[in-house]
Amino acid sequence: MSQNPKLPHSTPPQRSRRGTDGYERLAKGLGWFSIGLGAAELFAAGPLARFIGIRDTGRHRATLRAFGVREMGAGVGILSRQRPQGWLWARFAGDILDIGSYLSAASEGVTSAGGVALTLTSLAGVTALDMYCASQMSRLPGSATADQQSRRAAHSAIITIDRPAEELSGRLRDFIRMRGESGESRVFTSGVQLSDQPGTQGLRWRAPGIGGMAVAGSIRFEPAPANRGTIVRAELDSPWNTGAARIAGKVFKFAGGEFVQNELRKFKQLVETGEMAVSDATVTTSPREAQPAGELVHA
Amino acid sequence: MGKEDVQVQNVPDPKIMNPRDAIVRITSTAICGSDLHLYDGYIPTMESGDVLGHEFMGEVVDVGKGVSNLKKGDRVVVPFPIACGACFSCKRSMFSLCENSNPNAWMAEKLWGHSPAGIFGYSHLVGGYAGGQAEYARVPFADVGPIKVPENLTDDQVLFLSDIFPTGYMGAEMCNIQPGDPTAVWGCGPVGQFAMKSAYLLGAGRVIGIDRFPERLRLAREKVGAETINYEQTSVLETLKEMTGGRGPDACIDAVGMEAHLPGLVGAYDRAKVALMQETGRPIAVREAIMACRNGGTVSVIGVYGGFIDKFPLGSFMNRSLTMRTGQCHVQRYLRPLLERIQKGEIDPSFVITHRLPLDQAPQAYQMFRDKQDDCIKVVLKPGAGSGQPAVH
Repeated sequence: MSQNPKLPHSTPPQRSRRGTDGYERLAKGLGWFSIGLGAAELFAAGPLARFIGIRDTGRHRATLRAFGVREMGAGVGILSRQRPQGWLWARFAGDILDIGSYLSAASEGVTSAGGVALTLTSLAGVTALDMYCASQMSRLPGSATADQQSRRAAHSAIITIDRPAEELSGRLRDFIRMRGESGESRVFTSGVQLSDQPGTQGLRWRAPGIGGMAVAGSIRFEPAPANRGTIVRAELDSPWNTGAARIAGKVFKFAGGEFVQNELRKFKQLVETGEMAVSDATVTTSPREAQPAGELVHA
Repeated sequence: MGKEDVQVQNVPDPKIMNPRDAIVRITSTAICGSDLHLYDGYIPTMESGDVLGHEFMGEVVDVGKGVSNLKKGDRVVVPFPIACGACFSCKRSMFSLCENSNPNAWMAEKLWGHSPAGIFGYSHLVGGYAGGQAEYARVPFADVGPIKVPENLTDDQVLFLSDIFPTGYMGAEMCNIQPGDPTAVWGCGPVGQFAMKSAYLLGAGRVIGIDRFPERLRLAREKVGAETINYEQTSVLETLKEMTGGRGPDACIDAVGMEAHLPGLVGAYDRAKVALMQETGRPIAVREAIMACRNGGTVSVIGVYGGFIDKFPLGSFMNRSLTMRTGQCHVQRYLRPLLERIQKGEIDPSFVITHRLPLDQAPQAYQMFRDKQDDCIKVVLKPGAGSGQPAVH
């Protein structure tokens, strides 16, 4: 048997099983609480509105019912997983929404000052509990989030190019500058700045990005086994390497590992073939919906 | 313009976009069986307005400054995979896996894990390149792909070097056929015909073609010299056992792909699964090829599959030490040797052509080919030919 390859990042420190069990019990409790609260919101919206001290209007009932569906979904999600940190974070986000919505509803008129005080105290308490449980579970060894963080830290994009690192180093700098000047890249945007990584042939970049939020990261080289050229790894700096940033990047089409991967692919094409592949349907260089060239005219 | 809706329209002429491009004025182009997967909506990422066609040839009318081996006026056949000639895959002659020719590699990676090469006119998943069922086409990496063909050979004789002849040949070659080996081929369409013919060229002892359309079975018997099985009339597995002394064929080639047909419950099961989006094709031929193959034999899959299939007989495959080989054809690898075979008269690929039509009759041609009307086996389209010209058999 071969030895396990050395992991690039150390695993998080082990915690006692007792501590792990405690977080899991707390998560289960929050899951059942979520289902109970959701059921109350869904099936007893009117009495609940009166109990928490806001007016029993049709709009408030509808909002409570919608929130009830959300709560029950989160509850089922939490109870269906052993490490439900994702669902707990979703609950935390829901708590913030609850507080905002409640304050908005209360500003329209309060029916019970005691109900308001109790509700705000409860909301603050459960929000703190959700955040605590979600953050603790995210740090547990073996949790999905810990694994994902490890993977994300390993690379945001990776490609093998059939050239030695010495050749790639200079050409990559030229490529990034060229992409910045072309205005076609969503990662290496106009005004991109480069700096060396001391002691390596790699580099760091920082670009203005979209909406004034700088996109930065590093690229490093390592020889590919069996004389297969050079492995090029790109890592985006936080917060661009987080799950939320990835989703936002996909939705709003900026930054994100997918776009960095596309840039590395373009770089490889340029180095290996002398040109960047374009088809009739891909006239720009970022992942985008392709269209036929020009207007079609019926014969 | 949509599922089962092919139209002929005027579109902008292609232009040189990269230094290694060429523009080809197309003199002959064909509809491939795999175009029917696009026509029937089995391949994702097609968009209204996409130009189809990946089997074409013609005259070079413009070249980029990076192309030194071609010049205006050269008569060329263009291979359907677009390949750079310089990457890891191309250097190993796996041209249909070129790492640099699919500008939409990110799309293919989502569906397939990694991206193959770009392909002309075959969805945005493999590049969104305009295809060759047109008057002109832009040919990227023209210094690697197109092969110049001699004037003494007709378009009909060399056109199929672009895809179906090398594809059939590779299907047979992947089986490592030894002299005398019995070989079975599922599907007697044009690719199946070339797979059978190639199996004989590579030394197969007896070649058995499997289909249900009489005209295709007849072509296999009369032009290829194969024996045939009509799967609607007899059990394929039992017949193959009978023909091979109970052992099964050494080489089994699936030249059908994702739209296989089978009467009865199994066929209905797969149709229902596809309709419910529980699988993306009907893998009836490859299932049967696995079950039929002799212990330790080779199953070669050259029929096209797009996504995920159901009820794959992995138990039979594993326990009987079968080998499966597959792939989109690395056409560039076969162009020269197969052209030499044509020049020597070992094969005249035009034997599969049943219809020649003007390009502007492409919509009718697609329908006729898909529905197997008028004994249609292979359609060649002629850009520039007059409209209303009757079908040529």
